[in-house]
Amino acid sequence: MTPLRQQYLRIKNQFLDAIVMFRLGDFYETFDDDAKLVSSVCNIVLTGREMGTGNRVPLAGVPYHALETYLAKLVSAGHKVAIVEQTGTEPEGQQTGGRTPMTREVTRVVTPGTIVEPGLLEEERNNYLAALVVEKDRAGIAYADITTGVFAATQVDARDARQELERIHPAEVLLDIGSWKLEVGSASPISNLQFPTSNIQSPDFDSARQTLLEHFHIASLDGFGLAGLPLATRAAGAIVQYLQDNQKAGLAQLTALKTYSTQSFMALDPATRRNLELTQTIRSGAVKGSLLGVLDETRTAMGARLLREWLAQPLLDLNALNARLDHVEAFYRDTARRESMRDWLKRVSDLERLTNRVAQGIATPRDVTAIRASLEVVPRIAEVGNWKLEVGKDAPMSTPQRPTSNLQPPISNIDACPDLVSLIARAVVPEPPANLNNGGVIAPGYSAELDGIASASRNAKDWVANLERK
Amino acid sequence: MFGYYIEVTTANLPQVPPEYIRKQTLVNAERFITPDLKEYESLILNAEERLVELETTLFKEICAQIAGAAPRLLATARALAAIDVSAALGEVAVRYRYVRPQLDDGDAIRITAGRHPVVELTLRDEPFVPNDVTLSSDEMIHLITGPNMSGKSTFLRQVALIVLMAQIGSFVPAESATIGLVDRIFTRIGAQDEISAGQSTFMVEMVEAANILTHATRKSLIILDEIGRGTSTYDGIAIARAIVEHIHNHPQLQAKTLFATHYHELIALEEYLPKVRNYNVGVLEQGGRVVFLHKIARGGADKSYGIHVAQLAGIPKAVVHRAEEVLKDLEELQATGRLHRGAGVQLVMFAPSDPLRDEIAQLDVLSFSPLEALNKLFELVEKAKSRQSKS
Repeated sequence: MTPLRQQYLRIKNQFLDAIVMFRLGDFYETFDDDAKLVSSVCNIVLTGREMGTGNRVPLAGVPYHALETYLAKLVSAGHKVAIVEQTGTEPEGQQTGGRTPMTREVTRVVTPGTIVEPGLLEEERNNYLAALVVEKDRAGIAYADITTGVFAATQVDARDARQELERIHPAEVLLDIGSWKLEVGSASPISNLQFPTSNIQSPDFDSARQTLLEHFHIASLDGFGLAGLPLATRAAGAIVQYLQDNQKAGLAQLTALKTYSTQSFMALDPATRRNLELTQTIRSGAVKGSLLGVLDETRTAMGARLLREWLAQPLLDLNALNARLDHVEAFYRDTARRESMRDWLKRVSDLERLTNRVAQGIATPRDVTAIRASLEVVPRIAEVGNWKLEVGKDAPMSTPQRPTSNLQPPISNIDACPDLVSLIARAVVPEPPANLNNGGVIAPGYSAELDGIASASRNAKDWVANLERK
Repeated sequence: MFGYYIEVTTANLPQVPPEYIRKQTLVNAERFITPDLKEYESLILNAEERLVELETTLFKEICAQIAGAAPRLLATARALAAIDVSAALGEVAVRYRYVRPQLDDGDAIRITAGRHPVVELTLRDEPFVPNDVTLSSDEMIHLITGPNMSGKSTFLRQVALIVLMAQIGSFVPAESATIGLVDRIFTRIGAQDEISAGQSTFMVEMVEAANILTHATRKSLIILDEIGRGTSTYDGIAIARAIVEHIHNHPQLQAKTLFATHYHELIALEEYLPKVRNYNVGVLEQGGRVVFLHKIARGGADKSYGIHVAQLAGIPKAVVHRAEEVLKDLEELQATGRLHRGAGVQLVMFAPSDPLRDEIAQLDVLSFSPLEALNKLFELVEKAKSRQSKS
């Protein structure tokens, strides 16, 4: 067996439940059963590779630059994928005999609930990782979208767990099945869940609490409303632990946890959501022909996602609803302002996901200039939006202004972040290349050192150019 | 390998200065470098490598600064999302002529000229027929009779959708709407969709009905479309009727209910359940043909028009004619009492009042001697038996 094969098997043994994609030169290779699976899911050729005398193993590989396409296929088929990169330029360890392979390790495990690649995500809906922990007749549910920073937890009657999971519509669910089988028996309301699931051993209350305290750098969870919700705490802890295990890039974007009660929303069972065709039709599953299809006149991906959330969670709070209606009415009554607002909004990129890509350290130069371009529109939007404070004066039908709830941030919450706009304007060229591989990203005048090197390089080039002319 | 060189054609080779270093020979040219050129080349290459390195470092620093402001950016992002949704709902409200619903904490739902937000956009040749509805604690259960295809299902769904739209903060497709906030919407609609799931249609229906009867409150809205359909007619009618009575009488339920059925036998319920109202879908008979008006009107449908639907669907004339004959026979049989329709009294599970039950409830058992108790029990059993034989 070759040293390379040994290295592969050592890594594979730590990720038995995932497809291991092993970077070798310009390819990500898969071996053995993984290769057979990848070959059939992605429709690529299954070959073999000699890995030691007489040891030919099945192999299927994809070119490194096409990884995202194949990841999309594997992940949307519900598979977990571990990406192994070469992480050092020195050979690994001290091996005797044979060539010793370079250091390689798993840099990321991609699962349906933890993807971050824009090409793999649906723009107009959140991509949630959910966790369900059940004990006796109670259930803790937590969910997070690492691309938007949403992180929420609740505790419900175990019989209502399915309904809440269907409402969340996660891309992946972590199940603590141990407690489930013991306490609730075979009549599990989560049988036949149509979401990809992983069985996990959820942390006990104390270690979940500790995980959360450390993640948020805080001394008490009470500020998040988790007091008295041990199962919600455990589910939230399970999410953070799972992300820590699978996302080496870190979880800086999960900055807060929101605890909610399903009691504050209209309950809709899965059959009713389906029957009323709220977000998709019964016949074709398409958005067109559903209520969402009629209502979705949003101009941004963020708005589209929020509208979908609103449809999934109708409110029971009169004040919050009237606050929303006041805002809608303001736009309803003033066509010119509505149109100008919608025109400005069209120029706003997905600020939510862009910000999270920056926080995760995976932003491209163009992501950063897109943040700048979006922020530059914000003052115009605020200007148009200020008008809404006048609601009720000239609108006989409208109800008096009520204190707005936290569900609809008042316009004053909008921060155009001028400091960031000017930073990006100074630092990054207006139309940067797609990546950092060939330079040309940082604007002249931002760094004296960079300008020095650039001008030395330019001088040398000029000298060569002069020579050519001679 | 990347590199600068000076290419000299074979003809010019004699003029090459001595300090030139030959690197490569081609068919009709040779390539040279000079020490100076070599030095500048490595300068350029080094500089480019350093440029990329430094740019990467600087870019990471910039990103770290932006990441430090992530909470502000995300707050802005979420505010923009909320503004976007409000503007979108404003746009939709104008475009499709919606109104602002009046919301309150009461138990009533009053909709004038309500429309189905999706269906109204799909109709091309005919205008959508709007409908009113008033559901309140006095008019709690609406029994809507009328043939299939007459628009019952659309009406039911549109009421649910209008309530739901109001409770996400949207304007609604109606001339006016007052909505007492609903804690939960239940639907039991159609039987066709779940057949593939392997469970029998009837079982699915009953599981969903059980869920509704267990969880609904007086703040809930229940939409029942053709419950009891997956079994025989009499079973179906019996179950449908029992469910309506339960919702009507059970103190914990009392939920606002829209119940569409093609069992026009059920319209009799209005006579003894005070909060039940009969409605029907308007039908116009013209020269033996039927035109659906899609208008919901007060009163029960007197017949089911099933045969007319068969005719509309293209069933051969001879079959339609024969069906009319059979129906006539059946109706005559029923009139003479030989084929009795409803198993009336037995199905009253929660009758509003029951003398026997009242009597039992008022017994003070502790004041009885054992013999008195036994006598009382005997008497009650006799009363119960005599009631049973009467009915």
